[in-house]
Amino acid sequence: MGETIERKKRIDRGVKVRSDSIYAVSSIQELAFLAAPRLGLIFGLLLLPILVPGLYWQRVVCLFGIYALLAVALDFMASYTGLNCLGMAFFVGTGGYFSGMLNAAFNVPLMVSIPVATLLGALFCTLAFLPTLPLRGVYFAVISFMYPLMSERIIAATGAFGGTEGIAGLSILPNIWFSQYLIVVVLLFCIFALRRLVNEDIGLVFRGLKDNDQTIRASGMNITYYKAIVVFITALMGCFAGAYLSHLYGWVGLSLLAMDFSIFPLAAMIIGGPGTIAGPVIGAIILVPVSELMRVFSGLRILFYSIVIIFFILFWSEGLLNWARKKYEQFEFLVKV
Amino acid sequence: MSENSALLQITDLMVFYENALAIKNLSLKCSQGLISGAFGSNSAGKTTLMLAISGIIAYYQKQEKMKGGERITWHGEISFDGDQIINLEPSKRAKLGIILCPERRRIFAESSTLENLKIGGYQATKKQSKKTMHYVFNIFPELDRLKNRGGGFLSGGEQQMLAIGRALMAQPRLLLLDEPLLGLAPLVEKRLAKAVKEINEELGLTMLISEQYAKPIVPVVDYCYVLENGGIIFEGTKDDFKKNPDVMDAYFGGM
Amino acid sequence: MEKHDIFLKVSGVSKSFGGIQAVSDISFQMRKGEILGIIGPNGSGKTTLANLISGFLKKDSGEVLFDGKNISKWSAHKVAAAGLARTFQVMRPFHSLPAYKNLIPTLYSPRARQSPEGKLGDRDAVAIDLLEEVGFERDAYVPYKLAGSLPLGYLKRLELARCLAMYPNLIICDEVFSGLSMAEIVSMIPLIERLQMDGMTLIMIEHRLKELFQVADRILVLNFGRKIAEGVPGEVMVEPQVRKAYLGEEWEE
Repeated sequence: MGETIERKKRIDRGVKVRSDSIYAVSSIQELAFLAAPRLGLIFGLLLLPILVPGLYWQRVVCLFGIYALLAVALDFMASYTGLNCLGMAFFVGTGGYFSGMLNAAFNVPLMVSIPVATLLGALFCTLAFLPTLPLRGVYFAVISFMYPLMSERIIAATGAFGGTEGIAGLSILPNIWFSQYLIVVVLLFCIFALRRLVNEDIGLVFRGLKDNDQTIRASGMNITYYKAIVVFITALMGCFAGAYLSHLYGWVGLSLLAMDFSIFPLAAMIIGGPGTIAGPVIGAIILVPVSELMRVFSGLRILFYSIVIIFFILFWSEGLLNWARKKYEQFEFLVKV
Repeated sequence: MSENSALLQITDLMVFYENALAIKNLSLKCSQGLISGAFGSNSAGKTTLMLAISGIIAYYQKQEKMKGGERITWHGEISFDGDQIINLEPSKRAKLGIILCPERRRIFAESSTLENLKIGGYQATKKQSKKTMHYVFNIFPELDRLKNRGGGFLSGGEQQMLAIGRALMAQPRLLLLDEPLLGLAPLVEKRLAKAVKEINEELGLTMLISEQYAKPIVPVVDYCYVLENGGIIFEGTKDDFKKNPDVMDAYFGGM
Repeated sequence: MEKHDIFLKVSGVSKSFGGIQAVSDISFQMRKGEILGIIGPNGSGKTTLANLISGFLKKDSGEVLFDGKNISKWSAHKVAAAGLARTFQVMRPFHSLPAYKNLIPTLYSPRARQSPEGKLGDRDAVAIDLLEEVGFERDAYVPYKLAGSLPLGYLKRLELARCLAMYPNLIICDEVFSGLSMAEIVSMIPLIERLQMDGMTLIMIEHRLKELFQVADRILVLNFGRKIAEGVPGEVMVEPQVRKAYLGEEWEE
């Protein structure tokens, strides 16, 4: 009794409070506070191709772009709408095979085959997932995980679409600069578009699907329909990633259905910060170079991703972006109780 | 009114949810063998108080910390039978005999009545378990009849009886009942109030009961506290309680 | 309001769960603009009945006719789209969003968008107006407060506003009074009365008899899943089986 007890108090920074209102537009300081993270992201990504040393790392930028796109798509699907998808590889494989087939069998130029494969692939994936949509949480995750595995087995067994050899000799993207900027621009577009979408009216309906589907149903809306739209949007991104990848290397094969494409986005999302759309990009930018450097231990990469996922879930489940945002927007100090 | 010693003594308790003060300089005492009541409206801090005494608030603190949510902190003193327990883990407090019967019952819906009771007796000896279970079926014959019924199929009143029974199985020295009468019909409220009094008299069990609507439970309570905005605005025996018109208005209401 | 046609007709509705008969052969009718109170002890099947009528649970048997349509086999969203709204006892608002944003999904629904009010466009503004109608003080910026920080009384009103956002013809209110303080309940009563004056038909499932009797036109009493009485509040409360089931004898202290 009588000793001063202290506690850590955390409140918003002054600049954050001021920039939350409409008056932010009248002050340079507040505008800078708001714009800095966004501009940092945009310029950071746009400058990335120029800053990396050499062709090898430029190819890594392309890979980073793909994984980041998948992670962003997964964040939208899982964190915002509650559809925990462990089968992103299915989207990648679909997009890749569609584009590969159009290009190889029908000689469609890649500038056409990529967008067409994206669209058709997304439709196909949505239809494929349709029966699974009533499933919740864990069951949906398990079934979605199985889809790419099943597809892999079917293609290998029937020898269709090139079987285990794959289809080689596809058109390759013109040059490395085009490749990098294509994926970076698409990535930036998707990040900002999704962030905008989740705050739109329909975005709130999607977010309601997560924990509150009884309200959506009680409002007269068919949740399967809205879930299908979410899958379609996610599939557009996933299939694009697959189509892009097939023309990056000029071939498509079973490796486009690899578990890597399902697990890596999950790890990137968890490290970077689920529920932020932009967070997974941070996760990807850390994981991609690290996993490149770990190329020697090829098989152990999945083990590495798993350990990282477990560590972050146990000790840092808010993720890096959420943690950084708190530091940016708030500050702590000791105060007497 | 004999001077019973304080089994539980809370001094200047403060609980923060980030910067919001849920409990403000609260001091409260539960005398040995008596039933104490904590009454207040929805956000008065009753549940936070129960969580703080039982220690379960530490679990929420950890949960929030892990997901980067609100920072929950508490300060002050809680002494149980002479020992300072404010920094003691909830499991150790349960071993000391501080048992919480949580708000909204929280019985195990997939388990049967019998299984729920057995789970409650986790830290009791076989002999204690058997004796208490026999006692529970005595006080609540309905539970005997519903022995094998799944917890989720019990009505609200039956679930509350089961929750109390389960708490008794843990061999409590201080039983905390958080809004036991919530959502129950008048007939069931009376039944439970009567049962609570019987348990107190037959086992000499010290209890702290929190309620929003005081009328059905005041007849069995020996000492009352009224909470508002995290602090105590009134305390006294049930006669003092009845004599105070403002308090009566707020917490007895019509009916 | 002198419409005498039957607006809602429930006939022989039953439901059992794993051998336990939760609801047994319930039948009743309602006219447009009526307020029907459904009361009964815990476990009497009230919420199950609400779920059965609104399509959230499949009936074992029985029929429900609403506004001239047979909605017996309709799924929940179809029933809602036909104009039958309901509140939920366990509410799950968007905790980290302002209160008014919680109405946006409902205002986005096809039914809301087709209604004359819905066509006006700005859903945010409509949401705030709806909240004001149910008692969120606009001047105190209550509609903008985060849903997670709202006390229970406001959350219950938010649920009602959510139902109103669908421009329904009938609302099933599942225990909107429960958990509220005396003062909060007293302030909800004028809202219910106003809804009735505007022509809304209401089913109110409640525990708080006194307050319910102030607003209900008729009462239905359930016990162990069966209807044991039906009539105006006065007649129903003097029936011996109702007194026995619900109130019991007075316990002297």
